[in-house]
Amino acid sequence: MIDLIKAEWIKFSSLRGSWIRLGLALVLAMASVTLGLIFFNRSGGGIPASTEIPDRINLITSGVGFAGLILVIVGVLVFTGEVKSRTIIPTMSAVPDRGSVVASKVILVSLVAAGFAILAVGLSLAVGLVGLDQQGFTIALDDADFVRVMIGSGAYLVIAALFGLGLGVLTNSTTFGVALGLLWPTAIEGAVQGFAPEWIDRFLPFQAGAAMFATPQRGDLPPWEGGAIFLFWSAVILGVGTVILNRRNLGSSG
Amino acid sequence: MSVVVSNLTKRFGAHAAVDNLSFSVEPGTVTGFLGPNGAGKSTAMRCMLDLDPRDAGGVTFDGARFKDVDQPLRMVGSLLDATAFDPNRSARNHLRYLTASGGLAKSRVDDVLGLTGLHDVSKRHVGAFSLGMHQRLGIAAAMLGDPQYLFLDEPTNGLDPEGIKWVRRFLRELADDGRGVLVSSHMLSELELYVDHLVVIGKGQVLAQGSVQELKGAQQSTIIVRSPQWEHLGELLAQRGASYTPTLSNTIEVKGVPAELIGDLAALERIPLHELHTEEATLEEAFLEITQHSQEYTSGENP
Repeated sequence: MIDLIKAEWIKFSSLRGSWIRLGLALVLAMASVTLGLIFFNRSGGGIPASTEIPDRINLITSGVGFAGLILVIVGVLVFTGEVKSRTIIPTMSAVPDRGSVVASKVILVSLVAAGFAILAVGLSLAVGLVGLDQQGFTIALDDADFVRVMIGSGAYLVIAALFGLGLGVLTNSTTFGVALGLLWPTAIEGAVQGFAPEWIDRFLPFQAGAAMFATPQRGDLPPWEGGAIFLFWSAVILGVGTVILNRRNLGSSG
Repeated sequence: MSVVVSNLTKRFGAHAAVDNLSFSVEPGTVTGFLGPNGAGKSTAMRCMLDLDPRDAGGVTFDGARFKDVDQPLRMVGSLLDATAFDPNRSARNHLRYLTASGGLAKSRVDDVLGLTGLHDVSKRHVGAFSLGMHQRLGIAAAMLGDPQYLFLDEPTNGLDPEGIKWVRRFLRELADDGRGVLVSSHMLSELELYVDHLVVIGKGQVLAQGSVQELKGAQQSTIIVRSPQWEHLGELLAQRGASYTPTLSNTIEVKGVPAELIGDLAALERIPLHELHTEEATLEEAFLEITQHSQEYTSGENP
């Protein structure tokens, strides 16, 4: 398995596009924190700005949603990139057990997303705390909510990337995978929230996942329960995708 | 010890792309997999490596199913799709990842780059490669595991004459080295120079197989006979089990009897002969004859 993960790492790291996408995710996250800092404690339209502790924490994690969207795409492409370039043929000729290939991609995506999350959350923290400090606001680093939100943000990013990988395996197509990955957290969940009964909201993957870094804690959905629902969705999509992959003709160009 | 394909069948909907195909690839030989375009060669090769799931039949590599083979790349190296590279990845990185996938020694990357003459361009992105370089890189990838068997689908497509010669010599040497090579082509002229064994397929079925000599031999010679009394002579020959077809004026093509019999018969019956000669069958003709009736769109005439 170590060999397969190494192979996945070579595939991922040898394409400039992988780094461009991770860089874009980082830029989006940092831009969000920076803009938040500029407008923090500035009232607009007659509404006084709130600067309570939860607002300070939310400022730091304001880029997680954007970065998560890009990580979904990173996950999609880890699979569909091979379909598009047809390297799936040599890949599966070297490793006939398709489940092992998917498993090594799950580990690779988890590791990459975790590495990214440490960097992105770390940088957001540094920039956010310094910027807040300059405006005279602080966060107690041992605040229970604060620690939970930082860890939750990282976990959200990892699960989002795995969700994307699942979409990639399931759709077998960069076009459909990326489109679905972009529309699901935004348009699709938005539409469901708009038209379906409210109790369904908590079972939507990205809605549930967001509970991991919500402050104040969402009373109806504890953070780890939200994370579990998000992870469950990702696992189901990956599982169904792998079952279908096992029966797929790799010869027909996708 | 060989690759054994038995009763392999692959359907796409109601259409059987590969239909009850059986043959084997023996160590120390080059087996040519010959058939017109669309005959099912590529599908069969993909099914052999579990890339397209089979509907029936089996394939074993030295007795083991492919999925049970311990180190697949050391058992069989393959080039089934000469475009299966990421254009944005360097040749070296393509080989590096496959080396890792196969659990092979890192030094194999430089070995196969040297073997295929790609050392100088190994850091270039594959997108900048010509089709010929793609083929070489594909062969390099197939050789990574120093495999016992090699499956190559139309490996000379896009190569210049120099490259084609190189592939022939290369595959011949691999077989002489004790490896089993399966190489497909839709052109007999491409294969007959260096293969030991031919498997001719059409519409997914084996039409003929054997050594090049056997296939040539199985093909009956045609005897050209010109005589003003060709109709009478033809009837007499038909009574002796021959078949004949009128061609030009006063000329028939006869099959199934030797030229001596025709000459003797004509003398006995006092039929004047203006011409009598034998045309040796070429393998090309044998191939055309074999595949003619398997072409999807040829019309009419039964043998």
